[in-house]
Amino acid sequence: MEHTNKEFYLELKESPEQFAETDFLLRSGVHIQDHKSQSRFFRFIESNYPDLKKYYESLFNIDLVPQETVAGKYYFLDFFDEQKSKIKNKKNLDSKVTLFAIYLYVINNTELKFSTRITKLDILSAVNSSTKYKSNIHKILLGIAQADTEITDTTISKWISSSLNELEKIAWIYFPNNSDDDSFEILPAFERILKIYFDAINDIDNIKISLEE
Amino acid sequence: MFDNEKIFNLFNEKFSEIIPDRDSGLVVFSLFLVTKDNSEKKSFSEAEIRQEIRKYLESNPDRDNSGIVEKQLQKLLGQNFIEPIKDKRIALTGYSVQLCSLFLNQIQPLLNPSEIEKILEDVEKTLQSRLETLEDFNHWFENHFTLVAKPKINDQIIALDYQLIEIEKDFNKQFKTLSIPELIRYCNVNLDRVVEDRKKLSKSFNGLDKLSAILTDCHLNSLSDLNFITTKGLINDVIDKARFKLENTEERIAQIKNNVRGLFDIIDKKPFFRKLETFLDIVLENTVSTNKVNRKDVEQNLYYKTDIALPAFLKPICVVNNSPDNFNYPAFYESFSNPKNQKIEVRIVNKEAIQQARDRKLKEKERALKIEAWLSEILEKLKSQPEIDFSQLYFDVLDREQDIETVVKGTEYILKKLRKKNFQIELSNEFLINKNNANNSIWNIRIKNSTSN
Repeated sequence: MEHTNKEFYLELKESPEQFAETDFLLRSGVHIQDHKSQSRFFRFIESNYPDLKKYYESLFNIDLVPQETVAGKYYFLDFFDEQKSKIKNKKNLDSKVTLFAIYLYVINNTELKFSTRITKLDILSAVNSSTKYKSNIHKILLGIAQADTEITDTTISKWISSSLNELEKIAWIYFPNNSDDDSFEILPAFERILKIYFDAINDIDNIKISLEE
Repeated sequence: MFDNEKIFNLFNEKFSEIIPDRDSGLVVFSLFLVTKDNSEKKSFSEAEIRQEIRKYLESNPDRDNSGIVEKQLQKLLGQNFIEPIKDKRIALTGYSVQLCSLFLNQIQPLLNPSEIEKILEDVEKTLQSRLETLEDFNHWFENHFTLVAKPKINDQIIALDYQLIEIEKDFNKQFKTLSIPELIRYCNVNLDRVVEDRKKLSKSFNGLDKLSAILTDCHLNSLSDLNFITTKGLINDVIDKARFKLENTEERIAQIKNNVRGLFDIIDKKPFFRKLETFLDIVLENTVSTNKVNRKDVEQNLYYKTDIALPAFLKPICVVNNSPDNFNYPAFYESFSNPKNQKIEVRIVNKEAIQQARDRKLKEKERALKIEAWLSEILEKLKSQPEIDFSQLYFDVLDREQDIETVVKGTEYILKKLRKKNFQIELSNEFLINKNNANNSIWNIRIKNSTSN
């Protein structure tokens, strides 16, 4: 908080005209990455990262985080300490969306690792053909494991569609405008799921034991 | 994953002979591909089939088309492409499976860059010989380009796309069984084949650029004929689209390559993937749902709506959400503009009236100067002459100025001034008429110098 009540000048070296839009996206919770849909914003952050980081830190006590993954690099805003941050508006992803994001992350890394485009139907088929997860997904969304009927499929389809819409808003996935079907791409920022739950995943055996006790 | 629309276009004619209804053919083929990809998937729920139907409806998918979907579903059942089996499930009939297998077998060997290269060479030669007249050129466009080259170009792109989809599926399958080093080797060998095919196809598509160059340089292009320009535009559109799609496949190949490279990072992480799957399992097992209610969506499909609670060990995913809600709306920008209690009014100016008034003022000024000059002239004459004939002077000025208003106003002013200066003004009953214009006349007026008496 050392910069509080001091004058602050944001000096941008490259493409300052991109600031307003990039700032708006970041503060809307959008992740910015080197993808054709966001490349100008990504290049802007790359060129001005130290200044932008200082800007968010000084004025809002919030962190502009860069993260590198195998899929690519991405940026997003994160709280240092929610209590001290000057930005009070935050959004927790809905529980169903969080559950879907974890499910999609796992199947994308185990069953659809090489698929460059995924459709809603691919996910619905993955749910319906999975002997391992299907009964629990039914239990959560339908109250009880059931045979596949129209009502079960509609319920699961709704879960998939509404969750994908939310993930698109924060740029974890991308629906191309010119696509002939409803396929989408997984973006590098989707790897943030792993960063968030890395400790829990590594410690899952102990968690499992503690839950059984 | 499979783009049935493209497959349908590819076999449009053959398909329409066997399945006259376009949507039925696409739905059946799409369902067949789902069963082919997943050997455990033998049947579908009605909802799955409805979803497929919706995908291929030519109308806007956003509008309420539940009635059309239902009709299409009944049509498929009636035409024996699908049949109901036990537990309210629906399966493809044996006829449908055989029919779709037949089409699928024809797709696989389609990618043939050397064939498209030869076709484009032929099309180029025929174009060269058909550039004499517009009639020849139109004939070439209809019979060589539209009927031969264009479908072949599309076929090759579709075939390359298909090859990519198949390779993705194959790699996904191998990922589950092969060790990571084996998988990397396997992927690289197969990917090299796709990359090679793409390169060959890209090279053979150079013929398209030649077509474009010929059309630009030919003499027909200089005629500025609207039909030629339109046709040339259509050809260039096909060429651009082909190039765009090729670039798309290049992008996808790069993504697959990236995924293969990523395998090096997980080479010793098999235990981690086991943990990842266990993690999902534990999350699903320990998530509880409450408040289950039945709802209907816009298409009147019944579905369940539940509230769910994630296990306590799973922290929520939090994102910053600080942007103004109305950033993109006028209300946001209003705060930067003039305060609302200030009213801005635009002054309406009649420029024409102002100009007329200005002209009138200038003319009056000019007239006053002329009258003053006329008076000076008379006074000057009266210095040397005892009397002057004002009437004659009147006609002289009128002939010179051609402005009756000036001479009338001038006469009034001059006579008034001369009286004040004590000059004698004599009017007789004699009526004088202007020799140059019979419509103008004046009483005979003579001005005498008072000192002359």
